[in-house]
Parts: sequence; C-alpha cells; structure tokens
Amino acid sequence: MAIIVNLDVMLAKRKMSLTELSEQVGVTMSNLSILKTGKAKAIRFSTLEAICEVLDCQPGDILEYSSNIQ
Amino acid sequence: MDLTKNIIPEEKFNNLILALFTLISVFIFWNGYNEYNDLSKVLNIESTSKLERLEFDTKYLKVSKAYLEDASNPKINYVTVLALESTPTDVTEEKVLESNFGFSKMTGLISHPSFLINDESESFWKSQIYLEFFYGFGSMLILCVFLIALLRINEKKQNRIFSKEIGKTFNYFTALLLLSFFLDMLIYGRLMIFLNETYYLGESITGGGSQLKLFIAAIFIFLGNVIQRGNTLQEEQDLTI
Repeated sequence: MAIIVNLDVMLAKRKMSLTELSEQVGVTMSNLSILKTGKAKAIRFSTLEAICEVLDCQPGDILEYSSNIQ
Repeated sequence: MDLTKNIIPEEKFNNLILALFTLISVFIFWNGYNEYNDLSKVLNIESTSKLERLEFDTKYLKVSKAYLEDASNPKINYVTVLALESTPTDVTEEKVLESNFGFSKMTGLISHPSFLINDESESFWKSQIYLEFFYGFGSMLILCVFLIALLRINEKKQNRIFSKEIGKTFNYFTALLLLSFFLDMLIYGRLMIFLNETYYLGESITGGGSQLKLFIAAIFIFLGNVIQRGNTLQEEQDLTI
C-alpha cells in the first residue's frame, strides 16, 4: 500500500510503548498492531483523532504517502 | 429483572445449543439403530409368530410380514410400493396371493400394488429396502452434523456470519444436497427398473428426487454467494481501526 504508517516512529519519539498508547487511546493492542504493521485497510477519524491527541502530533506525522510503494 | 442483559450468557447459550444438537444426533443414531433392528425383524421371515403382523415403512416402500393360516407356506413377506403412479391391472400381486394362498384380503394390497418377496427377488428387495433406510437416516445425521459444524465455526469466528469457513460449509452442504437429490433419483430409478423388468409396469424411472431439495439447494447456492461476497466486506471491516 502506498500509505505508510509511521506509528512506531512517533511512539519512539514520545518514548511511549504500544501498551500505553492502547490504554490511553482505548483501542485494543491487536488493532494497534494491525495499524502499526501496515495491515490496516482503513482508519477511522475518531481513532486518528485520539492517537494524535495522545501523541500530541498531526495526522501527517503518523500517515505518509509514498508513490514508490504499491 | 434486567431485560437488557442476556438471561443466559452467550457462551453458555452457544454450548447449550451445541449440546442440544449433539443430543439430537445421538437420538437419531439410536433411533436408527432401533429401526434397523425392527427392519431386520420384519425381513427375517422365520421369526414370524402366529397372528403376528409386522410392518416397516421407508420412503417408497412398505414392507409387511404376515402369518397366514391354512396355507402351505404360512409365513410370507411382501412389499407395498407406495411410489407407483398407476395400479397395474393385469399382474397384481393380489392375484398371485389369491392363487397361491387362497387369501384375498390383505391390508395394503388394494390401495397400492404389493409384491411378494420370493427367493428370486429377495436379494433385490432387501438391498432396496436397506438402501432407502440408510439414505433416510444418513440424510438426517448429515444434516445434524452440518448444523453442529456451522455452530462451531460460528462460535470460533465470534458470531461473524460473513466468514470464508461458513461460506465453504454452505457450499459443501449445497453439494451434499445435490448429491442427495441424485442419490434419491438413483434409488427410485433402481426400484422402477426392477419393477418394469419383472412386472412390465412401464413406470417412469425419473420420478424420484425431491423437488424441494433442489429448491433448498438453489437457496443455499444464493446464500453461499452472498456470504462469500459479504466476507470481503467483513475483512475490510475487521481491518478498519
């Protein structure tokens, strides 16, 4: 997929674990793993909003478009 | 009483339904075993006691065993064919019985044509009766096993209808239904071929096979298709965070 999820980068920047994020955002660990590994087909605005709020970042910090990847 | 909560927890309810279907399967098996013993008793001519009259019904046949007094061969077995469209006029078993035993009134001989099980035809009738018997009980058992499999898969898939496994189970069941339809036609055809060859009845050999089964199979093909299409949507839904 041409959309890259940089969740792990943001987590590293904020020095936060996936478990902590899961607890604060209210999304299960398995769903966050799906998102982190790029297996997710879609992301809800509400989820994106919650992640941005917890990580104090913009949606663009988490999602990136790359034309080289199919 | 809180009506918003489940009276029985979902997991327990699923297990209860599963146990119920397993119990029904065991009951069908046990019932089949008893019926098999009854059938064997009817077919075993030697065990007929005086004034005893035993009957056993299958889909197309009614097997009867009778004890006739004042006859040279008092113990007889005869088969009443329930599936014939027309009553044969010239060679009726009623006449055969009349001439052989001097016995004219026998239940089942008037409403449907009946045929004596003699030494020549015994092997055919026995195999035909057993085929119909096993077909009937086998179908019921397979239906129960299918329902149990469906419940188990549904439970594993956390009550998601649109899963590949449920779609596959539907397709397998459709194939089984179609197979059962053709098997039914074969069993019926076998009976009619025998009767046509032996008694010159001229009955159609393609009259077997329940149209209802074909109708249900058509519905299942449609449902299987819907489930497989829905599976794509379900997968997308599952991967939406």
